[in-house]
Amino acid sequence: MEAARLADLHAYVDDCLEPDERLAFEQQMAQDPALARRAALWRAQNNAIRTAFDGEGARAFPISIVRHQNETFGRAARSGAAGAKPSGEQPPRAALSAVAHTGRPSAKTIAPDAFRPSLLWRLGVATLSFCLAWVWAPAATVAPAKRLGEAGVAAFQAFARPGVEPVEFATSETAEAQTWLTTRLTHPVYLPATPSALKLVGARIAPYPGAPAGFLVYRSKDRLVGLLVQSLDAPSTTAPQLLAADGSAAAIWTWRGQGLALVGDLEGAALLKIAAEFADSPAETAQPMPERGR
Amino acid sequence: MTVVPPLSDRPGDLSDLRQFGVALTRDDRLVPDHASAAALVDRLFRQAALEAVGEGVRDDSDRAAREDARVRAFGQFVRLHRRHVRRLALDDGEFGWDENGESAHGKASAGEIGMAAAVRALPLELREPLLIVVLAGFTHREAASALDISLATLITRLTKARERVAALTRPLPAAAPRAAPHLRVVK
Repeated sequence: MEAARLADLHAYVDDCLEPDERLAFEQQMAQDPALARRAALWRAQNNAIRTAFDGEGARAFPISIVRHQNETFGRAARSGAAGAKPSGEQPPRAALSAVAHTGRPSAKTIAPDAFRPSLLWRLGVATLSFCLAWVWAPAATVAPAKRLGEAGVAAFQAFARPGVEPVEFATSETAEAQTWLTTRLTHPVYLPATPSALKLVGARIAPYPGAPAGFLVYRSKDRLVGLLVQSLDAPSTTAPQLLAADGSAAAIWTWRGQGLALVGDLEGAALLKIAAEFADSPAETAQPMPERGR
Repeated sequence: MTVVPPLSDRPGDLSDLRQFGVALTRDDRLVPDHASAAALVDRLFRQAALEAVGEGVRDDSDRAAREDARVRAFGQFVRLHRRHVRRLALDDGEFGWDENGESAHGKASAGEIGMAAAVRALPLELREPLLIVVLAGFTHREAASALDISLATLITRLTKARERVAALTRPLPAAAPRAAPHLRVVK
């Protein structure tokens, strides 16, 4: 089949044709039973694929996670490629084939089970794991205080400065900020109630090694204060401690499975006092993980 | 306060990205079960979110920007997944590992497997275009853009993918009855 006709067939099957193009293609199919059969087969295949993978979209991702237009990787090499007429040429596949063509034998030539551990090995590992679990009970996770402090200070320096919108989600309600962060980070986030001396400005996502963190911005009189919130693996609850991070002060504590870092243009003692108020305050009503369905 | 409209009212949302992600990441070699695929999809998206901090398209952006963002989101996911697959192969010491190689199911004869297994059996370079067009509902132009390939390449790969899936899921012709039972009693 010629390339243009094949492209039209795919476009017809995938509902990518304009109404007049669609009509024209249906007239072609009426005169070519083989073409019509192929279209019907591929349409049925599409439906079967949708049915086979149905039910995976229950939890959606927010669109605001998307990189900005001026992203750097991979785009420059494809100028105009998407709009090109089908011509049969293949684009360079440097990224995909960089690993594949090294002259070593491909995994395709090796038996699929070659890398699976033997039953004896699995039994040995299981026994060893059981023995270790029996004799050694791990202590609670040590909170990465330095990392929390550095991430908090970096977020504050990046976002709480003149000319930059400090928050992505502006709200003065802690419960709303909690719901927004839970949705954005796709795991439950718990926020302490706001101390009376502070006023919540809003929330945003901030960088943290390995996974993004929540970052809240508060106003204290005429100054801004930031609170970084990051889920940790079961840390024990600790009282706020002052830490020097990147030339600034940060008050670090753990609470409800999270590490928190309070940062801002305040003296260390003032930060610690506010942190203690946060630590003593009750939590906002726990928000269930929102299911954002289709 | 920013009001985010319900998901169903927002054009170009990413509600089908999870479906696409789980379908794409599952295969018979590296991600053999659904739970692993779901965990991998979540992890790749946390990575994506980290890279997008402060640069994202807002939830109240206009329709065209959101649709463009959707294409870039899928593209970003595909690239992260490719990178993950390559890294996994390198970690396993399979320097010559071919991410587009067929799985054991891919070598199965026609009519032996169901639709999901047939799709999983496709090499990654064929699985990507088929799933992004069928599950995510992208136009061919958008799909080519998200996958970082030309439209011609997309059509070529779609043709190969559809023909291979058709071959794998085609019912077997009725076999002649066996002369003797192929199971025997072992005492």
